[in-house]
Amino acid sequence: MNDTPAQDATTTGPEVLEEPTRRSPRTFIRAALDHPLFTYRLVIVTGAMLLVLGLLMVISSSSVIAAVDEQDPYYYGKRQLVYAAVGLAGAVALCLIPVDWLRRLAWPALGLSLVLMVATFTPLGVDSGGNRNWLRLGSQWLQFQPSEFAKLALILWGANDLARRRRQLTDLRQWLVYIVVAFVTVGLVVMQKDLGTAVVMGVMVLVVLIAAGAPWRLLGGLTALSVIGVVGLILVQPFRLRRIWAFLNPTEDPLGLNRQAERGIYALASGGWFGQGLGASRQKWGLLAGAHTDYIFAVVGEELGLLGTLTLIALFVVLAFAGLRIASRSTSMFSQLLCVGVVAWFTVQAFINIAVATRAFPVMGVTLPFVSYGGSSLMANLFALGLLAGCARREPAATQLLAARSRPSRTRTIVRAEG
Amino acid sequence: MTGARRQGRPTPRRRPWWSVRVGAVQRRMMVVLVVFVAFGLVLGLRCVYVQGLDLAGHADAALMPATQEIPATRGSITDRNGQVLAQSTPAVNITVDPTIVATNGLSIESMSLGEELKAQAGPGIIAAILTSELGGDFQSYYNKLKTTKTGSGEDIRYAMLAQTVLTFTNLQIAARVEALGYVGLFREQAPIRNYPNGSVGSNVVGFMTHDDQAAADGKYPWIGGAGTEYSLNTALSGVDGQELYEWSPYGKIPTDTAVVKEPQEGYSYRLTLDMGLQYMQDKRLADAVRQTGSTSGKAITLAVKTGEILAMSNYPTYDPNDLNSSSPDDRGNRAIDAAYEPGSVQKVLTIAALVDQGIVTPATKVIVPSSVVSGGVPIKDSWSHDTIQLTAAGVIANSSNVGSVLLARQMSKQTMVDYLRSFGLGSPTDVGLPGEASGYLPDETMTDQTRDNMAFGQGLAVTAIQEAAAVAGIVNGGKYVSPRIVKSATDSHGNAVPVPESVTRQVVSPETSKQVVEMMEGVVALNSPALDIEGYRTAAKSGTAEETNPSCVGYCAWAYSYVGVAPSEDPEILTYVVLDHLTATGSGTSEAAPVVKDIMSVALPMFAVPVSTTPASDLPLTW
Amino acid sequence: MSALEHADLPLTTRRSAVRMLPPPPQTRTWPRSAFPLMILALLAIGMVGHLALQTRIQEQGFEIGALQTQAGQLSARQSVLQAMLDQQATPQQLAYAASQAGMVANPYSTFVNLATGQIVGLAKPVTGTEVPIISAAAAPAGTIPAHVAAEAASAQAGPEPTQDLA
Repeated sequence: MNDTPAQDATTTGPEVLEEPTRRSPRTFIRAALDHPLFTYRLVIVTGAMLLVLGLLMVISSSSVIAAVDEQDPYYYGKRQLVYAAVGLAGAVALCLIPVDWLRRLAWPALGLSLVLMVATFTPLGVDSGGNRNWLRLGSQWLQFQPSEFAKLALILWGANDLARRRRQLTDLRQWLVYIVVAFVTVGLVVMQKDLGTAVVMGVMVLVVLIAAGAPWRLLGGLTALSVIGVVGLILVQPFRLRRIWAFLNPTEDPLGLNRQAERGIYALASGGWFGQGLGASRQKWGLLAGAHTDYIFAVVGEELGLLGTLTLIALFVVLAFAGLRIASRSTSMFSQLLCVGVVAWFTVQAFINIAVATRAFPVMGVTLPFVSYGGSSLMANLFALGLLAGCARREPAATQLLAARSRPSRTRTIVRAEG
Repeated sequence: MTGARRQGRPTPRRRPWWSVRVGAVQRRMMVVLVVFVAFGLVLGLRCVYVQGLDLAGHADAALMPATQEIPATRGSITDRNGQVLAQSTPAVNITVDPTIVATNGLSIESMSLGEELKAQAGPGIIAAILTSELGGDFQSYYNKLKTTKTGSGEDIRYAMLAQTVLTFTNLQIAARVEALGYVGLFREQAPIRNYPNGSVGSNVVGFMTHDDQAAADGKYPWIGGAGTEYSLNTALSGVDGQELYEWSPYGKIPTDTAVVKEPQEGYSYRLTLDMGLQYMQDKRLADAVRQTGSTSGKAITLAVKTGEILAMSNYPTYDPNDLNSSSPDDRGNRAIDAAYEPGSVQKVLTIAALVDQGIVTPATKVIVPSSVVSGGVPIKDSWSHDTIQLTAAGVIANSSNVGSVLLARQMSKQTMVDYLRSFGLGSPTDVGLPGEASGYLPDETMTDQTRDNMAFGQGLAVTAIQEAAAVAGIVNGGKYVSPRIVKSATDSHGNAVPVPESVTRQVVSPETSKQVVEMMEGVVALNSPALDIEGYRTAAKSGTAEETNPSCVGYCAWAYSYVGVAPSEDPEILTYVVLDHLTATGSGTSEAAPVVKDIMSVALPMFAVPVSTTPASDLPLTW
Repeated sequence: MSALEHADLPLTTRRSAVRMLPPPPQTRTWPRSAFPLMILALLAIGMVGHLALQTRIQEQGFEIGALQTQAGQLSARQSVLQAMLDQQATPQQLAYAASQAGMVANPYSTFVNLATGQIVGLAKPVTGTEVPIISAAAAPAGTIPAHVAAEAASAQAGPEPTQDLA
């Protein structure tokens, strides 16, 4: 017999007991927002919408080059589906995994990703478009980018490290470990000649430090160092300088350096308010380079119009909002920093990609999370989304509700003591 | 730190260098969120600016409209049996843009080393392909492919590599170049007009010339320059079509804004010529001109009943496939554009008018002196004689000028002119060929001397086709049928297209016609058996005329002519041959008649004309 | 004692202060979020269908291009063969071929009256000199080069249909 006394179980939510009062939309929204599983569902729905949109756009934007090069217009789409399936499986796993197991994974994850990053400098590494950031283990299906998983590992390890030291963070030296590790990881990416990923990683680490409460002077110093580093890296490589020049002189060299940017703008402008229609992009017919990778946002703009692009931006903003909401409602610093890190990753990378595609920023080779074609990045993004969902489940209110749900149904009847 | 509590000494608490303040997490989160939302808004506004407002008009610039001309195929020209006289074979001019070849279509900055090496090898490889497929000089192809700047430093964007290459060959060249991964070759439509019969019938069929105005306009510059190519040019050319579509490096983009305007293909024409007969007539005329030492010759064979021209020959002539080997003077059609004084063949027309008026019959008795004075100048016959007694039939058979004059004087000038006009003289016959001359026919105010001269074929100018058609009208039961060169036409789907029909009119009565033919039979009988055609009753008339010539003042040239008609009882075929001569070495009978006989000997069986079953008429020539 | 053991006692007879609240209403068979999710799913299906259609149209565009290229190649080949045929049909070629075959020209026509079976005309043996204007001159040269003619005539003429990029 269940011996739990009749407790003053506070009503943890109106879900089971009563119809929520529908007096006004504001009350309804507030009631919906207060639901313990709201952010969890929001994360899942937003992620699902991004994923579905992404798959559709990959199929659409790659269909022409796939038909010409591979005789199958769905070639890239099918591969992306496979990666998505694997990513989803991993996401589910990471969502449901208990927290302490997760924290135990931090060190091995970091170690493995650093090893794999170093391995790209060995003969196992593969060049692609000037960056040596791919690793091929035998067949083409086992070719991946370690740097994407390194981002995930860095977030996980960083959250774990800072969370462990949470009581000693008034000591500046406690911050240094994370900063040094981040520096090493970013440095490896820089050595792979992938400045875009390095910048995303760097900003991501900075945002995590901001959210963790790092002193502003420390942050200022780090930012200054990063800016100097980036400027130095740009000056050292002539092709990066050329990209800056091309950005500052948009009308020059429209067939050479500015060709991709021009085509991207053409694509967006052709889309207008409501787009040409899904699948009806013209620029994907060999005119826009990277139509299914770096410039997929332009294809979204062309096919789905302003409606599509604003929706896509809104989805990323909503995802950011959801993630930060989880962070603010979480009680464990690990979860908080994990969420902030994942959100920072998605938002920074997405916004840089969109800024490049809309020509608000010089060309920088970063892909659009969930949407661009790329197995490694899609899987890493889905794993991160799984972590985010897992954090949402571990919100105190959500934890209670889920625990309550999993008990046998006889306890559903609420009893209140009087007297 | 508890330093402040010891000994009561208020030591200022020195914070160690690594001591920092940790920020409030919730506030920091809010800051981060606000920053993210702000960036999102900025990007959203940027999207609105680029997509919604599009002030720079990029959406229009993104359109890649391309128009492709769909050239209409020029119609073909065939003979009456469908044998091809002129046909277009698709061909192109191969051009190149050396600037594109230099970088193989890529931009200089984004080329990798491998792509650069490949582009550098391009001109050599392409030149080798061209040499192997087209022949020609490797070096000259190579130079055109390689030279990207003019002497003054400008970019060369266009160079002609090869002209009128068969499309069939060009497709293979293009496939080979493309398979190796090179771009930069382009093509212009330049169809080859093929004349499989060469010089046979070339004066009628014509040839193509270069139209500088059309070339300057950027249009296809070849149009018909002579013959039926010229007179039927508009209908043969058709109307080009057009395709409007969106272009991309991977081909045409299937959108709903593509428009195709189908071309209207040129009509195909079937001429009245019979190539077998034309071939033989051309050859016989050429042999005759060369053997008699004439300067030129014309021959026309008509189907009497329908006015269809079965063969029209000129010599010297030209090969339209190789115009440069002929003289421009020979590229006309003397049978229709050269006017000359017809000579004694005109007597047929004169006598027909007289008989039709009832003034003369074949038995009319004429006293023919040795000469007759006209305008103070004596007119004599081609043989000297004292006064003889000839019937009208005899006047024709012997071709007496004096007799003709005496008979013609019995007709008023007005009547004579009216008859000659109705026979088609003095105006073009509208046969359907360009450049037809009208000839010269004096009107009723002519002097008596002119009237006398016209009786035997001097003092007026005709073209060979006019004279042939006139005689054909007279022998065809008196029904003049205007000559035609175009038999029928069809469009590209095989539907019939209307073509002009012959004008017909009754010029003399059927009885007149019969009598005139019988009189003409006397000409053949007089020369029998030399000019007989075995199995057929034939009628004929010879002509020997004095002509003017640019090389002298007055008359110093000759036209030897002969017209033959068969079978006499129901004329089907008429052949008229004229040889132009600068010396008086012979006569129509000696020079032109054998040609007519040979041509008619093959024409009559070729057209399955039944052999004559009645004997030739035998009219008395003297009394 | 647990509240449950009191459950079957009527309300009025219970002595403890424990009160039972009325049983909760039936839980929904469908979660509340089913409707919006269903709408989203329909939207997704619609978009997928539209995209599939558009991709099929695109594929057909490629097919059309390939077929048009093939049609062009066949048409070019046909025109070359046609030109060769026209060359063979000229009277010069006919005269040459006939004389090569040992034939002579016969200008004498004969007619058979099909109704009566009567033969009318001049049936004569010919010696070959009756029509001197037809001679056995050399075969006239064609305007199609020999190697092109050979290629066009061969069964496997021309490359596989490729995409026309001009």
